[in-house]
Amino acid sequence: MPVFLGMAALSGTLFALTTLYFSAGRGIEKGMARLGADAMAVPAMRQEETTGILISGEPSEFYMPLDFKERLAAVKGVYRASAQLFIISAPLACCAVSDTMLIGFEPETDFTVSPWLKERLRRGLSPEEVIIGPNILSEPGGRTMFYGKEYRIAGKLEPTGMKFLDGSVFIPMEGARRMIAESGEKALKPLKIRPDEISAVLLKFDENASHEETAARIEYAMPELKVVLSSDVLRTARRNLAVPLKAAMAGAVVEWAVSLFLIGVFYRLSIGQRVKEIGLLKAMGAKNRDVRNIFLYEVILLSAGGGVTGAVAGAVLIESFENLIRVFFDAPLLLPSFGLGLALAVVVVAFTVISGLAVTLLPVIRMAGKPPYDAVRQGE
Amino acid sequence: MKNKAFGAAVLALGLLIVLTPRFILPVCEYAGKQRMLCTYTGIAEMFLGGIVLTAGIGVFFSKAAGALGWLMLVAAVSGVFVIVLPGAIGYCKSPSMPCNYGAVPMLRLLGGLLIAVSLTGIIVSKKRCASSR
Repeated sequence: MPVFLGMAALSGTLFALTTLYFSAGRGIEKGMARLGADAMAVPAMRQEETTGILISGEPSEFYMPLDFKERLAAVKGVYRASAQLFIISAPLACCAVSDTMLIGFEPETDFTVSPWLKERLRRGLSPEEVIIGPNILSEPGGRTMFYGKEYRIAGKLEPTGMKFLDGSVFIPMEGARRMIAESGEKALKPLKIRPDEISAVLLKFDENASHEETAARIEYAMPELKVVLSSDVLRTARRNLAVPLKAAMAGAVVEWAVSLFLIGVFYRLSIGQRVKEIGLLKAMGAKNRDVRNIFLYEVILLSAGGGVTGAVAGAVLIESFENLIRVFFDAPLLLPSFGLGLALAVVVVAFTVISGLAVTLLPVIRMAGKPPYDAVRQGE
Repeated sequence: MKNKAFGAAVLALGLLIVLTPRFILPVCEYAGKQRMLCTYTGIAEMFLGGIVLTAGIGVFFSKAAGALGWLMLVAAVSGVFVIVLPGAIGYCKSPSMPCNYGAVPMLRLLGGLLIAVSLTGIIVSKKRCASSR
């Protein structure tokens, strides 16, 4: 039992940590790929807030003049610029869509949602339609209301692990402007956003342009703005998770070493208690090889059984607490696919079995080599 | 000795069930949001945790083999209710709400562990009763 439980604990910890490591990598990369932007230009005082929006998806609203978009598009090194408008939905008691980011986007210049629209919907959006993130509790074909204006849900994005994309509602800019204009009459809380205001400009840089240089050029020409580079966001998100993951990995290595030592000690004692049986077996004609194989099969079965149990327990825990881990570490997480998860589990179980064999092989070989008479006498 | 071990395990799980919705991974109201259905789920879970705690104390201090079995049955049934209660009373469906990502998964995990420990206790109690006849 202690061998089984020890292997289960080892396997569970290892599986959980490797899954988290893969999840963090996938979440960040898929999210930034979906965002499509090399950088985001925001008002100068809102740089940290913007990184927070992108990584942890904390809704935030801030505004700047629309004419910044044309000025940004004209900067050397900028290939495309697309404006976005951030609005936070009103807090509601039902908690289904309260504190949700509503993102007004320009269909003509957008490169975040538009590729998905081209591929899935194969058409544009009307001003009365929205696209929702996978965390929004509604389905395509249904209707939703913000600030007194009703929209039809045209589609639902796939998960990326980034709350900014997964927990937001994308509205064509014309639809967002109409909502703002009508909020005075229809909404409980009217919106005070001018028609010439936007929140941010998403930027795609030229292929050969240096991102850092282009960002510096923009900030020099327009000191009212700050440019948040996607590479910096990636680095911050990785760092958020890297420190606790490294600490957990270090803990896992110590746990691995201590567990294997204790398993080795326990198994030696366990074999020592069965010396008389080994002696009797050998007296009846069993060879060293036969005795050795009995114990090795036992170790393999216990290690594999413990490994599988631990991997399953680790998978259940990660699946159950996925959102808590995301919130706690403030990092985008996207769990690996079933196939990748299974492959990880197989590797972890194989590693557990090899570790079990490594610590028990020597005592097994020694005990199997004992002459029958000595083994029986030792067991009395 | 075995009663003490099972009793301590059930006691610990009961205490965790009592503390989780309010202190460890609080439901939305106790995490700074307004009162919603999850508050009532949390309160119900705390009462259930109290029942489990009481059963654990009974197991810890009882000496009779039969008492272990019956009290573990109470704990096992309570474990089922701990798992089922959030779905029955209600909690926030949005994954960004504290009850959804914290309290409910934790309570379900504790309920599962309670059922596993209780069933083991019931089996041990049956074996003990059979061997004492």
